[in-house]
Amino acid sequence: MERESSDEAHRPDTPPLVASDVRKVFQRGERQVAALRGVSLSVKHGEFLAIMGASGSGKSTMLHALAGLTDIDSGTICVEGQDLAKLPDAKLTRFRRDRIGLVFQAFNLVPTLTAEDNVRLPALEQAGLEEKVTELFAALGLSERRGHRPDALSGGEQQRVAIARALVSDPAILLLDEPTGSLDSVAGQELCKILKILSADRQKTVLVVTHEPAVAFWSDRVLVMRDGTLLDEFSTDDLESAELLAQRYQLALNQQTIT
Amino acid sequence: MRAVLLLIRSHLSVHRVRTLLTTLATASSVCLLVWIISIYSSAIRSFDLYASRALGHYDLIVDPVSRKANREVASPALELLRDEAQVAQIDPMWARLLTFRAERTDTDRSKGSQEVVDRHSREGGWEEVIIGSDAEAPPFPLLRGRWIAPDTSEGLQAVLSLECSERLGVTVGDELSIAGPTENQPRIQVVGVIEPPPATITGVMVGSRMLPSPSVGAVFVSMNDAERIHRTKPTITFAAVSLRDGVDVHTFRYRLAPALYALAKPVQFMTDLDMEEEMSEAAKASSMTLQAYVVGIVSVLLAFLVIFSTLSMGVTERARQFALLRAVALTKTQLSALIAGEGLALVSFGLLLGIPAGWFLVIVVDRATDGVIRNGVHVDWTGIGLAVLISGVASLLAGVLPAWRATRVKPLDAIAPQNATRVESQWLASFGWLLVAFPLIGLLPLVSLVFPPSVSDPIFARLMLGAAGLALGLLLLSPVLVRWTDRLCVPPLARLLRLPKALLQQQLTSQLWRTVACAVTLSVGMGLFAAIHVWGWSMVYVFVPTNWAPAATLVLERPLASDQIDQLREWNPALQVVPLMVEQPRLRDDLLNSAEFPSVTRQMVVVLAGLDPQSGFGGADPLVDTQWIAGTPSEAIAMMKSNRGCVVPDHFYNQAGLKLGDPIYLVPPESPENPVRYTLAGAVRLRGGQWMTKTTNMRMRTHRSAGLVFADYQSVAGDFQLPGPRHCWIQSDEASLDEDALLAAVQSVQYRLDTTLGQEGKPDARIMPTQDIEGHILSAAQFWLWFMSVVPLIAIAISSVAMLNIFLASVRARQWDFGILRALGFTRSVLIRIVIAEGILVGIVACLVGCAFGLIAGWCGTALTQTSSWFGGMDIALTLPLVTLLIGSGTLLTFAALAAVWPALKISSMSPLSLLDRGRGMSQ
Repeated sequence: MERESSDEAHRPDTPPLVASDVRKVFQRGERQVAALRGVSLSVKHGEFLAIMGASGSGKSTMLHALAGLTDIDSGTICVEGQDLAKLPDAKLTRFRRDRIGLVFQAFNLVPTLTAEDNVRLPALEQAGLEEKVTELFAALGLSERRGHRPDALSGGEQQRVAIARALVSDPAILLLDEPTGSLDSVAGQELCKILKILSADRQKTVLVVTHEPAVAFWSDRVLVMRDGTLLDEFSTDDLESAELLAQRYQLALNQQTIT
Repeated sequence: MRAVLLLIRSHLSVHRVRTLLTTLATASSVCLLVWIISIYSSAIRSFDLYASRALGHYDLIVDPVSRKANREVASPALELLRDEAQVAQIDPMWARLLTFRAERTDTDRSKGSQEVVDRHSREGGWEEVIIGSDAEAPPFPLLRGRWIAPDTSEGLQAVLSLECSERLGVTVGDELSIAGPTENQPRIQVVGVIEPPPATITGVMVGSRMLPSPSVGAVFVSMNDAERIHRTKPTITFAAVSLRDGVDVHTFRYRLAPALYALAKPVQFMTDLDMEEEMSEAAKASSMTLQAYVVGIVSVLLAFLVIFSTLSMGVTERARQFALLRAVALTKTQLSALIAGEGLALVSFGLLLGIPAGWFLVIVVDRATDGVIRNGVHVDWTGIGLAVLISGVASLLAGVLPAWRATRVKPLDAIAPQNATRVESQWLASFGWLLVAFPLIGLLPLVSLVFPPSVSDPIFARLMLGAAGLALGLLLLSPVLVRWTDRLCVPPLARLLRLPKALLQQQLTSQLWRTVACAVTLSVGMGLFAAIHVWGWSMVYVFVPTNWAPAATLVLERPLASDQIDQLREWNPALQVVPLMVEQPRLRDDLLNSAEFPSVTRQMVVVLAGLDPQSGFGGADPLVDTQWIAGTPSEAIAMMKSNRGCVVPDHFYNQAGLKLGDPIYLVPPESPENPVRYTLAGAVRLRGGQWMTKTTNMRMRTHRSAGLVFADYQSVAGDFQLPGPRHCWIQSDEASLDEDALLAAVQSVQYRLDTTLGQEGKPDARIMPTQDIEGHILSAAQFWLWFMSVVPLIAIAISSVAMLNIFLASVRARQWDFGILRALGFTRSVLIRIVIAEGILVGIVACLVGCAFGLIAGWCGTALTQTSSWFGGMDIALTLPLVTLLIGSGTLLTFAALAAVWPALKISSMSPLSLLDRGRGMSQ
């Protein structure tokens, strides 16, 4: 894989993900909708960050921009020091494949491939792939299911396979868009536990977009978005339950409404 | 690349039915290609062989034009040919009928053939054709012994044909004697046996005339021995010509014809009826090559469309998957490689299955058609190699558009709602495309009808350019046709199938890619079928005699006297009997440029029919009642009577570029030194005139004729020294002509004046009703056109497999929609009827596209054929075989409906819940 990045990327004090003054406007017929209005953020190594917000707040657009899935109108997004806007399509695709792990709410897996082939897919040329796949399946509790196709897996299992696929190329960051949206609460909590382990124990940088306080509760820090701007930011260290997090989130929204 | 291969393998193995059906359809196309190329190439080889078998190793025969007893190929003709650089060898031959007896050294050998001798021999001997020749090599393979030496001081030597050798019961070393009035006849030693083709193939006699060909020879002797046997220097009956390698026989023949005709004793490259037919078979062989190319193109196009539609369907239903792959793993190039790889894999499966299947079919046909393809059927591996190559390229091309569509999928589509991930395709049905489509469709009419090519223009290039434009134009037009079909055909079909109209509406347009892919694939066979029949019937009808022709032609072996004609008229006053003085003179000048561009109407010879001008063209009800292209009946009659005026057919008039009053010099065959000046008095439409002369012995000297020319009865009789009419045209007021009664009357009048005719004998005449000519032409045309339609009908069947494939994918992609319908209370039967109705609607679009292609290509093809084909040159009117087109359309609609049955049953057999579950699964 051709690395566009600089030495900066490997410096431990350099945040793996930095976004500065990101702006994005969508054209909806004759109407222009500002999805992102100068959003800036920085995520540290091993940090578990949650972005919360209501529908239309711009949180998903922000995640897509961070993953290089959508072009931004202005601002910069650097992953491991690499400005995504400077990469042509093919190089961006390879960069995303190797350095960014992506997990969506659903439709995550290629239906014609088995679970292990789905995991192998982004890293087929990589050395030591089989050991890595085996280790990931073991770590995610999927060793018995690796030969199954997606239609034979439960929703939770499919999401875990998707996480394994996102991790197989050892990316700098893991971006998840509403990963528990299609799961029941038990499976959702198990998934969150895995994400917490990844960030805490394996020092993976995890960014989750969600509207569920129960998911955000597992994160280290929460960013609240509304109307394309960052509204608030708070740590979860002092919050003892998801309910308290929900109240804090609501408070952030209400304060802004009052002001 | 490993990721791409992994995805190709998994996709093809998971969708086994789709892979299998695509393979089946592609394999059928390949099989068709292998089969047709092999059959055609074998048939072409067979025609070539057949044409040359009668001639032995020679390319042409030189035959005197004269039919008098003392006719010969004179030395100026031989010298002229010897001076030709393209002639490799010329062997003059003398031929006579003599009676031979076997003088066997081993009498036991005769036992087996004794019965045959008793049955067929005359006066204890056998009448055989002896040929004198100084040829250095035998014309046919030597089976035993050696070939005759040109000059030997030993006794007489002969080489026998195998058939003659068996008939006489003699072989090498035995002797023959020539039967004669005295016992002192020369003895001939048999020195060799050769194997000419069987007489059943080459023929020996036509009418009372011996074929001028080595194949008729039973006993071959040297010219020296021929002189000793004949007791006088033999004249040259005909000469056999070999051309140098690479010289085109057809071109050579027509290039040299004017010079040969211009000799004091004119000769012609006329083989005879059978061989002449075979020469035109060679022309057929070249048109068969063109047909093989067309079939090849159709097969490859079919394979292309089958793969294209499968790949397109795959892209449509996998849009979300591609988006996901773009998001997590694949670049656009890799995604394109994925589509191209799937196409190549599918065509490879098709080739792996299709080539052995085609090979097997060829063997089956070879065994089943013993004798039909005379040279045997062989697999043409060169053609197959080419087919493999072209199929590979076609599959890659088939992937271009689907690959482009796949790369248009954005990674973000992976998380978009289901409807948003459908590849947008409504733009295809935009009416703006008509601005591009119609000019493309108009290209072929433009290069063929509006600006017709001249004979020297590159016709094939025009055809290919125009046909490609037409196909592309119709392809662009098809989405609009889909929209019209949706609007116009859905209401009646919904009523017919008792379906709520709303359920059928938009089904075609909402799945435009699927509909267009299916319709275009199905239309290939229909287009070819329609083109064959529109072209074929338009071409055929110019050969069918129309109302101008008489009810029948009376053909006589002996000329009738004028009082015999009067007696015939008295016998039945209701009959109009018009005697004809018929000769087949050549044109002094090559008015039609036959030397350079010969065709069925561009020849140097015409059939001249002398008739009473008033009976033929005068009065309110003339015998030849037809349209005048130039001149008027009254002026023409006056010129015919006073000034050797002649009336020519329209195609002759147009091709020669003559004006009224221009001279036409005709050379009497028996008096070539005295050309006769005729004057162009008029031109008339004579549809079918060519066949009228062909089937009634009016072409008595050569098989070819530029057309039927009318002149004054007395002028023709005098100018060409004809003793009396051998043909009469009969017009009858009665509903049907009593042929037997007429023949009896002819015999009666002939007998009355000529007592040498036996009462018991057959009448020296025959009647050829014009209706029979028409029936013969039409039935032959019907047979050949339907024979040629086999390939398009197979193409329709193959494309219906592709359609089945696409429909299976289509219903699979719509399981959620069907689940909703079932949940809302619609029955299984409704689902079945919806899917079958969709199949019928797709079939209707295919019929429209196919018929439009066939109609335009067929009609424009006739225009191009005018200048390019051997059979071109005549004024052709568009003939629409409506019943045939309806049969073709009905077949296509049936296949389209049948192709929808399996998907319909499959979807209807699922419960509402499983439809919803699977539908949800499909969307993930």
